[in-house]
Amino acid sequence: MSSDLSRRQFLGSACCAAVGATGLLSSLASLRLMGAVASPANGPQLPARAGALPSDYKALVCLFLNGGNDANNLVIPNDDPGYNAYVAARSNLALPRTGLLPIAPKTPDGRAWALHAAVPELQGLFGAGRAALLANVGTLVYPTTRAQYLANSVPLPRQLFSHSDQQVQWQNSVPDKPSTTGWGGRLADLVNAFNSNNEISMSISLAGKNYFQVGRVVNQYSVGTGGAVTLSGSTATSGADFARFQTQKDLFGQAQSALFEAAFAGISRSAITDAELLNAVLSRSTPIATAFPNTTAGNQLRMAARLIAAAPNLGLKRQVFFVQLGGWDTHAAQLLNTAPTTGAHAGLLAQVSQAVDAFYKATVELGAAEQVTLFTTSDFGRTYRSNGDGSDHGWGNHQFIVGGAVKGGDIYGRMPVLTVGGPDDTTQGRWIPTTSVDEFAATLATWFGVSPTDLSTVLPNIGRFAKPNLGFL
Amino acid sequence: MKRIVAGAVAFAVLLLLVVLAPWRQPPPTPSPVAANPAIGPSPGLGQPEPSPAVPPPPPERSTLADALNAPGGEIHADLKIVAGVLETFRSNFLQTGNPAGNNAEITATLTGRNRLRLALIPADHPAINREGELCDRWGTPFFFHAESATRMGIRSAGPDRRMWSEDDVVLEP
Repeated sequence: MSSDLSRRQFLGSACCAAVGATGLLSSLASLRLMGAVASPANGPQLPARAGALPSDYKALVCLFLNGGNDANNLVIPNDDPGYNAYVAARSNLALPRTGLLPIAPKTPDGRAWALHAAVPELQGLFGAGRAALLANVGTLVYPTTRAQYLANSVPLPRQLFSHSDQQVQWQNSVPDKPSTTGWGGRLADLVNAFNSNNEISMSISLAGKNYFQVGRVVNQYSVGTGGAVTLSGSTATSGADFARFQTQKDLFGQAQSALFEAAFAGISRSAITDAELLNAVLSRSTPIATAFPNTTAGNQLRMAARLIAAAPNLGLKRQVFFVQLGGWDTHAAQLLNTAPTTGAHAGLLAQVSQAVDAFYKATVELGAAEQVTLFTTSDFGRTYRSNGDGSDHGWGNHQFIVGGAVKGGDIYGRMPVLTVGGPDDTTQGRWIPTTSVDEFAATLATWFGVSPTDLSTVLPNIGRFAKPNLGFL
Repeated sequence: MKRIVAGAVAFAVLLLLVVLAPWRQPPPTPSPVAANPAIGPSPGLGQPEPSPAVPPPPPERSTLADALNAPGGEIHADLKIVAGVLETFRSNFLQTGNPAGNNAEITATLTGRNRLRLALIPADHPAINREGELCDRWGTPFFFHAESATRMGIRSAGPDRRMWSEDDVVLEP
């Protein structure tokens, strides 16, 4: 080799070496993961982190009640005038007073309230100060009065009373214009710096794709109730399934010249390695002893609890979970008149109550009760007036917030005047929200570590509303 | 040159007015039905309209729903007619999509209580009951199920007039 390298030759060689080194490092990184993959008996290489949850760990769990929960039958007036008016307005949807579960909010509003008979666990959490209610919260572009609504004098959320539009608006909190991100995703983008590792995303969905967790930087990662979703054959150690899986991995590992193929191969490789890593971490994490009900909500929340327990091994100090339960669009058969506590709505409420209670107990078991906050959301509330067999699409709704950090045992916001045609009604008993989704989300985001100056990054419309912190955390 | 341009602009404006005028309904009577983003500010609500110098031509009556509930017709065709009316509405309100609310509110919007005063169903259509609801051929109000800005389920209670029973007829979007 000649020692008389020209400057041009030297620079050219150096560049090639740099590119080569980049490729080598990249390959080494891949080999580290693929090496683990290639030795299934050994399992993937776990990050060198372990132990209990750090004191500054926090998790938010969004429990989305898909279809529109009729919270008019979750929180029921329990004084004589209030209950009688409730029966008169709701007719066949009215629950019998016997069996209702009384609650005693710390801040009385002059009315007495009770919960649906199917949620004794939530009543217990409320009474113990571990759960709070947020009254009449919903999508708003600006604070809106009935007069403004009827006169159409303030901008209103697009497509009120429509399922998918309201679901999206609850999850992105931008009801007046299209948004490509959800508020959970924007929140994750902002606080992801807390995490020392991003091998597994801090945004995990237990219910598939959702708008809530769509961020610009942090991607949502979908996990099943049994763990990360894997390709068929990924757990096999021999035979045809094993051979097919290895062949797939080899194909995904080959260099691709076309951009689309390269991206597809890269994502597929990443999916395989992420799944193997997460499942390995889950399998080595301490099992959770708390019993969960074997239901849709119970199984999802059980996995959320397991992922919280695994957070130290994943290098995560912030996690956002999305859990979902469908079936709340109770236009028909909302309840059975012969036994009003056994209809479709009662069954769903019971499932939520039991699953949320188990989840809270699991966080206590993990020593993380004060670091995990669960909150419910839904498309919209439902009409106070019965349609004869159920209730139709409404607007404002009541939500639960559960966790050790919650200033529980109280109702935040303002319960609406439960009068069809009253000051809080559009028509039909569709309550105009007196608290916005922005205020609800801002309170949660503030607890999660977002500074007041950064709130508008997560919630662009928050400046339009009076209370960026509702005080329930 | 400026005069020619001004004349052309004036002619275009006049032509536009002539083209749009047949679809414009007189201002609606204020009603308790709810607001709709498609409605926009209603200049006629709560105040008299100024008298125009030239009486407008009588509004052209939309024929989109003429065959709705017609004798000899059948419910599936009726549902498609209603779906067609909604589709036409959406094509005129691309930003907002379907009319929002319950049957009475949706019917009010379809009969002209909207920003363009576009009456796709005449307000005196026999399918509209006293409560302002659009009804099926057995006299029961249709049930509108808003799934999204572009998807609306339409349900008829069927001959037994009981919603959510076995003989209901549903047009899914």
